[in-house]
Parts: sequence; C-alpha cells; structure tokens
Amino acid sequence: MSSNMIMLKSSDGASFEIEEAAARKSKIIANMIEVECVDEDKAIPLQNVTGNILALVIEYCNKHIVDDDDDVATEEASEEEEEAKKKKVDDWEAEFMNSMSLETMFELLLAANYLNIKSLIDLVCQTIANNIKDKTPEEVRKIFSIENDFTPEEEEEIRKENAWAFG
Amino acid sequence: MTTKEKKKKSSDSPPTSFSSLPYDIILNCLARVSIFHRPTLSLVSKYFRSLIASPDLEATRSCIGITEEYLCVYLVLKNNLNPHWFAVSPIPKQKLKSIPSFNTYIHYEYSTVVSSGSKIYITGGFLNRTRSKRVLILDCVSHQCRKLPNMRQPRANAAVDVSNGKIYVTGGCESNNNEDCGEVYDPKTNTWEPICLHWILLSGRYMFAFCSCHTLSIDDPCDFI
Repeated sequence: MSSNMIMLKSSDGASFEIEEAAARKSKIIANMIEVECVDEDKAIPLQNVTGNILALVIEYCNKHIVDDDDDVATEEASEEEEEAKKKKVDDWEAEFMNSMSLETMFELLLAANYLNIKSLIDLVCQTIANNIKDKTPEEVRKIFSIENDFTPEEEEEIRKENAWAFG
Repeated sequence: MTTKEKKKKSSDSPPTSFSSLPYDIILNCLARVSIFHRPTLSLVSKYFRSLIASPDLEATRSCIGITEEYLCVYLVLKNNLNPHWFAVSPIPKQKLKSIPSFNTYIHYEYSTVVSSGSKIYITGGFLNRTRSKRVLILDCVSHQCRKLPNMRQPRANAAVDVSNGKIYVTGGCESNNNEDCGEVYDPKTNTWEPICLHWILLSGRYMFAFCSCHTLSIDDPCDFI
C-alpha cells in the first residue's frame, strides 16, 4: 500500500531506490527508518554491502514484498491458488540462486546477515547445503576451496570410525 | 564512519570464502545437511570435523526447526554375537550405519525395548539368568547412551510405556507383592516410585501387564505389540 520510496547507498557509492515496504524486510533498515526518520533525499548508507550485492538484495526484497501484499489482498484464495503461488515463489527463488556464483552467494549471505533478512539467510544457507549434500569430501573441498589438512593416517582413522556396515 | 577504509578493503580483500563466513552462518548451512552426510563432511578438513562434532550444530538444527526421521534397528549378525544398533539411511548406496555409541552396553536377553520421540528405552532383562534392574536410554539425536537409576524391582519381559517423559513399567518381576508389580520413573525427581494397580486402571490407559503369578489385563494391549 505504502508507496514511500527510500534511498539505499552501497559501500562503493551506488544509490538504489526501493519501496519502504520492501526495505523493511531488513530489520536493520526498518530500525534505521524508525530511529532516523529518513528524508526523501537522504539515503541510508550501508557500509558493509557493495552495489552489485545490494542490487540482488533489493531484487529479493521487491519480489517478496509483492507476495506479502498478495497474501493480504486474497484472503479467500483457494488451496490450489495458494499452492500455485508458493510454487511460483519457489521457482523464482531457485532461478535467482541458480544465476549466481558461489562467491556471490557468500557475499549475499554476509549482506543478508548484516541487514538481518532472515528469509534470505535461510534461502542462501539452504542452497549452499543443497550444493554439498551428495558430494564426496574431495568434491566439497573443491567447491569451497578448502585445503585438506588431515594426514593420510588421520583420514584413514576417521574413515574407519565412519565406516558403513553394509553398502 | 570509515567509508573510505571499507571501500579500499572491498577492492583489495581476497574473495569471500566459505570458511571466512561467520561461525553461526556456517553452522546454519551445515545444520541443513542430513545427519547421514556428516561422516563425509567430517572428512573435509579439521575445521569441518570440529563443526560436525560440536553440540552447537544440533542446537542450530533445533533452532531452525529441522527434524529428520530415521529408523533405528537392532540386529544380531551371524558373524558377530553381540547385537548391534544401526541407523537405516535414506540415502541411496548407503544402507545400515552402525551407531558405535549405542553399542557400548551389554545386551540383556528379554529386556524390553520401546521408543518414544527420539529416545529408545531399554528396561530390565536377564543377566546370567538373573533379572536386572537396569534401565538405559539411547538418545537418537545426540547418539548417547545413558544409564538411569535402577528400578526398584529386577524385571525381565516387563510391559513398558513412556508418557510425558515418565517411564511406566509393570510386571516381569518375581515378587508377588501388589506394590512391586509396577513402578514409574519421573525424570524431574530422577526416582522410581511404585504404582498401585488401581492407579493404572483409573489412568484410562490400556496396559497389559503380568506378574509371575497373576495376569492383569487392562485396556488395549495394542500399545505394546
């Protein structure tokens, strides 16, 4: 309903206009709005978020604020409609996450953590978890660029501890 | 405040890596992976191993509200006389996973095994043809085996039910005394108290209990089959 626009400024100086309702997805920004009474021309500086990441955060918030409005507007929506709507959001989220590199995901996660957007933290964490769930230790190391700091003996010891009885 | 510094840092700093993320965020990611993948993740690095072993991981899991259902089976294998607990994995290519911490106790024949929530309760049984007072709890979340205070009476083949954390045990003892027939464990007081039979009848729960010389049939025995 509210069409108040506010301005967000990234650490590298880029400015973004965003609906206040969407920006309130971030608890930090919501607090800033409450406390600082942001003027129309006064931007909120976000020192820990770069422009390219802030653009993604804003894309996410915009998408989800629309969905929240829909929830209020269509209280009598049938179960199928609800399901279809949920599927649409899920598909959008899957594509949104699919479009970015792992490094971008980490930066988005840091930004979501800093801005305190719980649903976005959940989405990115779940995507990262899905990325590693069926992988071998070697594959996980490669995905995350982690060095194997076990000696072959230690590795063998852990493998023995974790051995499967069958299969 | 220090905008210039931050700007400088962001262009010079190395790319963000998984290991450089805050501790609680890393836990948030790992907590979402099935417990059956934990052995694999433990092998990634020493840091990963410490994360997987940390109680914080389970705390994060319950904080996010992640639960995972899996079946625990107790098997006597041909090549191993000691029965063993296994978790049945839902992941293809893996079948049974031994639970080493569950296999640290000696199994008594004719002990009663019941499960409630994420816990498995093992009561009584015969050790060298003598009835035992031992009660064990296997926690399927922490994978820990814990011994409770002994029951008042030694029992084997007793009827056991768990309700609101209290363990109700009836029958399976040698004593003919009415007050020895049943007992209840209260986790709040950490003690066993006798339960009188009238109480069992009035509680509205169906129980099937037998003492050595008389059989009681109370309510629906289905709970115990």
